[in-house]
Amino acid sequence: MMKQWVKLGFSLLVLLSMNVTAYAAKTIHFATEATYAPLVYLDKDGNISGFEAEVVQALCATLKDTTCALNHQGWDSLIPSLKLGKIDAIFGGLAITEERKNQVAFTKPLYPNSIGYIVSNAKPISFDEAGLKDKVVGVQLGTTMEHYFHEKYPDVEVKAYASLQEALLDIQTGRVDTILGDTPVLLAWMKGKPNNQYQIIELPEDQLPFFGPGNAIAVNKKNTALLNELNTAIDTIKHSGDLAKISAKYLLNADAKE
Amino acid sequence: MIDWFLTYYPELLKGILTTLELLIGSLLVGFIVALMLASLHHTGKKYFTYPINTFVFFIRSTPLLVQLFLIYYGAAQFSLIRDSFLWPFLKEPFICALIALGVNSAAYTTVVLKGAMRAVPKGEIEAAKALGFSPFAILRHIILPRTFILIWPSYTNEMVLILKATALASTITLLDMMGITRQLIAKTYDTLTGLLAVGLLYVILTTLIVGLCHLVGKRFKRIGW
Amino acid sequence: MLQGYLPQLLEGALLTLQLASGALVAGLLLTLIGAFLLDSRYKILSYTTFGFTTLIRGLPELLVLFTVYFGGEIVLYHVFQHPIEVSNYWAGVLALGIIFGAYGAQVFQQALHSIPHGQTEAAHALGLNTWQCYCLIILPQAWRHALPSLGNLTLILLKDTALVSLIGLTDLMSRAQAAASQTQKPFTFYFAVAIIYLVLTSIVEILLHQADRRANRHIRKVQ
Repeated sequence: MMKQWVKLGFSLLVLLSMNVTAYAAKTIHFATEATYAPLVYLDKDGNISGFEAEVVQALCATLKDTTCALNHQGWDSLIPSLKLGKIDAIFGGLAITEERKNQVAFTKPLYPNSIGYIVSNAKPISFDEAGLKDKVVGVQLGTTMEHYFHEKYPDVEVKAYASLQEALLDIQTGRVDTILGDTPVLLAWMKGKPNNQYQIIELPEDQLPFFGPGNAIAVNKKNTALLNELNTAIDTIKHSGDLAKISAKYLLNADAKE
Repeated sequence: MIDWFLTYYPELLKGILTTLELLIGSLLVGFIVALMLASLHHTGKKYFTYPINTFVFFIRSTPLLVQLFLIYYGAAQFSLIRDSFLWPFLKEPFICALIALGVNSAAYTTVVLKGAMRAVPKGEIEAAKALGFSPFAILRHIILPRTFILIWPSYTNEMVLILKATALASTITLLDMMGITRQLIAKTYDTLTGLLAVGLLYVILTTLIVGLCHLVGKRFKRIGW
Repeated sequence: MLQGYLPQLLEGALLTLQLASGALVAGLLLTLIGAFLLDSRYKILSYTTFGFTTLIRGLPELLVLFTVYFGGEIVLYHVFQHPIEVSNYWAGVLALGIIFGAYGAQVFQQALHSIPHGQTEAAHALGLNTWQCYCLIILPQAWRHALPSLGNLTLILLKDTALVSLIGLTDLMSRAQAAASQTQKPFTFYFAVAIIYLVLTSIVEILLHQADRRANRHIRKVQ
């Protein structure tokens, strides 16, 4: 009698632990860290939404017999997962940089970089060597912004967070004095705050080249087939006006300079 | 992997120092608090045992990660805390990690100390009472020395557990061994080398702690407890 | 109070439970295998297993999780010479299972040693082979001794599931983080998570208590 219960319990445990997802004919596995509204974020139902999510869906629509699966995982696991072949492509505020080009292959840029500092109006900062000297700057771990500070202002204290959302929590409490990040994301966060509490100072034009030609989709270096497919798809949606439509919906300017 | 080590060891060294500071600090805080709580619990008075048991229950039933986030991000949510004298302390990830790990260690060590205190031979306590020792003197001269010796093996285990727990402090931006490694991995994209290197460091530290505690334990035996 | 995020949190809790169940199954299997290997006649097997379990016990769980997640596929590729996909869910199950198994194997080995050798001798004398002796005589008795420690390890396993939020799984902790960011109320959500974990661990503790009573039902109590 006891053995029956044990067997039942065991099989229930095994069944409960099965977490299987169904796969379509040909599926491209996209991954991103969906904590970056309005570019990519998880909506109330837990689905990945946002500007780049819609762009990826539009790209997929142009590809025949293909479904695209969008998954959420940690930012610093994206490139390693891509290299290991666990996923096929990454997107979501991913800037093209020389170091990353050593690790992965990038499609053409989807949209140009728009980078800025967010700072509290109560405690304004002058963004130069002198002004930043005794301030604490928040960035996301493993981003071009983090790299920018290590290169340009190595003496400034930089706090790297696993996710930009954690940095935003800390600017509210004053643990960091400013954050350098993608302006669309900072703007979206600011919307929920009372007016005039924060402002965004865009990075001067001459600093932008440091951050590369723009944000794009990354694929494994060996996957030239997928790279070509995606590049063709990007051209398609640019010419058809779909990209412009989506970026207008999110109030972003997506005329990437080629 | 050797050249990875050679290139980055200055930064790793800073991380090791932070880890050790956090470890020793948390163990000290935890032990002192546990000593007070266990002694209070030992009196058997309900108004001590109930809150202490609730405290231990809460800490042992929730993950350390949640406790860390509650203290670091959660406490900062309240302007009452941000405007108080506590803020310069709670602002720092090190202090928050120290509190979280210290409280965690206190909860587990209280249970261990409680059990060990009960195991002290009743005869010795009665003899001390007969000789006119005050309750505090009994605690100090009879119960505690016995207790320390009894708990030593369990406490060695606790030290290793707290060392491993310090790795979680990296999630609240503390640059301990794990934190520095995650930064270096993000910079070099060389995940496995980084993980193997820091793993080696943790194994070395664990071995050192266990080895030292073993030697101290042998010393206890020699004294004749 | 939770601003409509409760369904999401509960979904996360479901994933946490699924993960814990899978890891428990994997962990128990590894415990049995590990205990068996630790007592093996072949010194190389027992020493390697001992070394491996001690190694895992000395590493932070976070590190084991990351290593299994990032390194798992590489190792599998070398072993099977064929790329095998390891999702982050199974990496979590495997990592937590390995951690459970490493502690469990040593605990269970001690439990096995507490069975008097006479039991094995009697079993052989009655004509049972090694496998039958192990399953029918030794295991049920060792189970009673091992249950408190294994129960403790199960509770630790349940709490360690919170770590998988760091490899991007949308478990309870991860959902709370998302909600906390979107509402700027971290205390509310992390406290809610703490309460949910409290409820889950309490349920498991009650189940373990019942299992303990049942396993000891044939032992005479001292009056």
